[in-house]
Amino acid sequence: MNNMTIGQYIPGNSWLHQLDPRVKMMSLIMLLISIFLIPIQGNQVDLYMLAGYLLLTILLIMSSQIPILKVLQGLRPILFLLTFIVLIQILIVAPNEKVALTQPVTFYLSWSSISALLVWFIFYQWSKKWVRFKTLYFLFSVIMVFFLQYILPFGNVFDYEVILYEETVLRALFIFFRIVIIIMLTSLLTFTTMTTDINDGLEGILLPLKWMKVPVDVLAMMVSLTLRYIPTLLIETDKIMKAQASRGVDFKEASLKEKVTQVISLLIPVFVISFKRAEDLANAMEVRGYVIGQKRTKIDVLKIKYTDFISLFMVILIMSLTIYQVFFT
Amino acid sequence: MIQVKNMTFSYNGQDEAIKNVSFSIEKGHFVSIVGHNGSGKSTLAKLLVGLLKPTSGSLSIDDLDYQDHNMVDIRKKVGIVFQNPDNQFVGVTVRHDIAFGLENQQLEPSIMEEKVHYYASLVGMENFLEKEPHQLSGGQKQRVAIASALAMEQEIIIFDEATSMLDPKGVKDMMETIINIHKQFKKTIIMITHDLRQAGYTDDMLIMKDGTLIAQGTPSTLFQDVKLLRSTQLLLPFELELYEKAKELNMNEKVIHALWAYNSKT
Amino acid sequence: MGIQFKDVTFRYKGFKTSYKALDMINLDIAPKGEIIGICGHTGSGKSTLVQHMNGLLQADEGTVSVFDIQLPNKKKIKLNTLRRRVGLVFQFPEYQLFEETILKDVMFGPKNLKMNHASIESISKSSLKAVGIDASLFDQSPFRISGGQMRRVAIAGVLAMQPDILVLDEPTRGLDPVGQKELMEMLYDIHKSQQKTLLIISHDMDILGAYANRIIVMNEGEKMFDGDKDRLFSHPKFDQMNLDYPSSIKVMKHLHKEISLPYKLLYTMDEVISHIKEHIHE
Repeated sequence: MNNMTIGQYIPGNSWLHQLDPRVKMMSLIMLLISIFLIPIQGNQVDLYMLAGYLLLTILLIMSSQIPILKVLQGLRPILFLLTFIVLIQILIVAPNEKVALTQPVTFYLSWSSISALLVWFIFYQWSKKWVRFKTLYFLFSVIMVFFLQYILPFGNVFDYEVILYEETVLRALFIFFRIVIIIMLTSLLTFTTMTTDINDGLEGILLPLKWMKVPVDVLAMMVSLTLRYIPTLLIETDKIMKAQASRGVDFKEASLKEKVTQVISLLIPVFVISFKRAEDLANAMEVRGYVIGQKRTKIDVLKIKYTDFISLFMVILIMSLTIYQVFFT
Repeated sequence: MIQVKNMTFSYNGQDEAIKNVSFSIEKGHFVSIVGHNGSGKSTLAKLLVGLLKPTSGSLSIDDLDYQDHNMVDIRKKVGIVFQNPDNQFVGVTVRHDIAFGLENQQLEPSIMEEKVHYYASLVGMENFLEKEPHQLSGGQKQRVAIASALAMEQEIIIFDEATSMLDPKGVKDMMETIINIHKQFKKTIIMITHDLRQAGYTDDMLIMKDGTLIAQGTPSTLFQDVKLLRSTQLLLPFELELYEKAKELNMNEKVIHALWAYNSKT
Repeated sequence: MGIQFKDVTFRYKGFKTSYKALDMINLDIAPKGEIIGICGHTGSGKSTLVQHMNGLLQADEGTVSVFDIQLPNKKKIKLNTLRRRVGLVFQFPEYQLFEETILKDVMFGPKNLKMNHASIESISKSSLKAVGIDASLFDQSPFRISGGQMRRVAIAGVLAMQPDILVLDEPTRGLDPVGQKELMEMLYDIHKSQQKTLLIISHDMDILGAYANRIIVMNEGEKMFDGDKDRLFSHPKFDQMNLDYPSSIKVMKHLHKEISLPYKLLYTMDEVISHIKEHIHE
């Protein structure tokens, strides 16, 4: 645990790593907005535009020297959601123009298929810990779910037809890739930017708000302190869990009422430590000359270079082209 | 240089944590303040660094009174290293933490970079600049705290029980660093401790008891005063206790002599 | 009975690396009223070692037997059966306090272990008495007492579970000398009156010298020494162990050298003074 670092930063020397964090964050926001502006209708031009963004994303990943596998791992948490969304689009949503791509295929929810599904579900839950490529196994499992419904009509209770329409397939692919692009671009930001730089960048971008009396610098300091203490708190929480476990805290064997007390036995010590810490820290910061709201310099200076100008210009260009294409043609 | 005159302090307006204390500390001296738990020594540290205000009496450095309008200047003269290594480590990395005080002083980034490197090397942490605090041991964090205080280039540095939470190696490293700082930079160092062995390294020792200053003198002088030491409610280190007992029991002169020699050595 | 370690190896698995925190440890601890000291450099495996004794950690290789319960085990074991026999007090145990009152906090452990309901309160009260906490404080908040008192309350919380073996990880760390002495005396009294085996991890050789009979020295995950303290402090390879002598022995060495006082391994003030008086007359 002592070797983890805050955030997901992967050190490197690519141009993406060296871009000013403010430019990176503003670019990300503009790209995300542009992508959402493209309508989902599933018409050809829109698809080409999304494909263009996909290409851009892949190019950015390659030039960042971040291993593609790492970026893909960022998709793991939403794998289930993605599959669900794609399936809904293909199976349930009715298209406006019925251009069929396949013949109708009948799936059966019969006694045989339902029992087979149950068996498969149990088997999957048990066997997945032995499997190395969990993502592929999951996808295989989804295919199995449909395959079983296809080949086991015995004892039919309910059957339904599925036709793959061009429109729904395109729409499913569109939504799928849109989510994928968004997540990959965001991951790229966190992989190529140190957490402190993200904080400084955010502070830089929000600085104009100071004119509206928003204490941006103080908020940035708060974020910085939070980041600094997260790993420390995790380690301390672990110690407290062990101490309470040594006093018999065992979640599995506890009644609901006991569980509540046990959770409190973890929370209160963490709170107490944090309050004492806040007091000590305030004293330490005060003695070292920190005055809330007073001007202070920073050892990390964010400097805009030529590459920053060019990158920002490119992003604005892409965004403008997208807006033009979507709204004016 | 530091003048304390009839200073009294009370936390809640009733019980006095500091009772009518007066003393002065010369520039460049290595001073220890010892006392039992609750004797007021930590409160004294907070008063000296301006975190608390005396209820009555006065406190001044180089004739600058500890008043609100002077605090900015006083902060430039006195720094402090606290006891808990984690609760004074502000920066996300070692580098950022040492720079914190300098950023508050509104220094130029290039100057800050120089100072951070210089003072980190002084405490042996130059290879740890990008490390985050949870990757460091208690002793290492305290060394960063020392570097942070040194970087602010204050004439006076207070160590408020700064070794209490460390393991023996951490304590040893820290004491060596403190002694080196005193020798090399001729800073005024005030070490608040309950460890009389540490006090033995200092030029001048102040003994606190129940909020009052009961003695001030060189460790050698004070250690030979058996009655005084007994009245402090302090637990003496083994060899010092043995020495005092040898005197009390009127042991053979050569025993007492040998024990004093041993105590002077450590 | 007691605790047995057989060829125990344990690795901490990090991000990409793992390192051996314990390497082929063999150990026997009988619950017969011993005080055992455990020392060694930071990172030598002391804390890891004791966490195997109440099931917080389980060995990667080898077995740990705690009062005839074996770990790892094919059957699902309720770890609380272990924690009832081996009480573990962590460093800065005052951080584990959380209840509204001191008495309630001490009762937390016994309640979790589902000890006999009727006796929980009285056992908790006597544990508090044993650590020197006056009955007038029982209904106070555990956060309104001094740090030293908080530590005692935390220790009472583990004592109330009535373990046969009490393990303490650096119980005196962070306390001032007076507080340290008082705590050790209190632990010694508990050891004597309840005949509990105490396992004390400490860097303080004075404490180990004064209170322990047997000392285990850990080094880089291995057990470097396990035996009588006299044997340790007269060991030919002592200097390679990176340990300090207790102050009493250091003084004895000095006196032996300077005034030819016969050298003897002594650990307490009284012993040293008697020895001096015996050999050197006024």
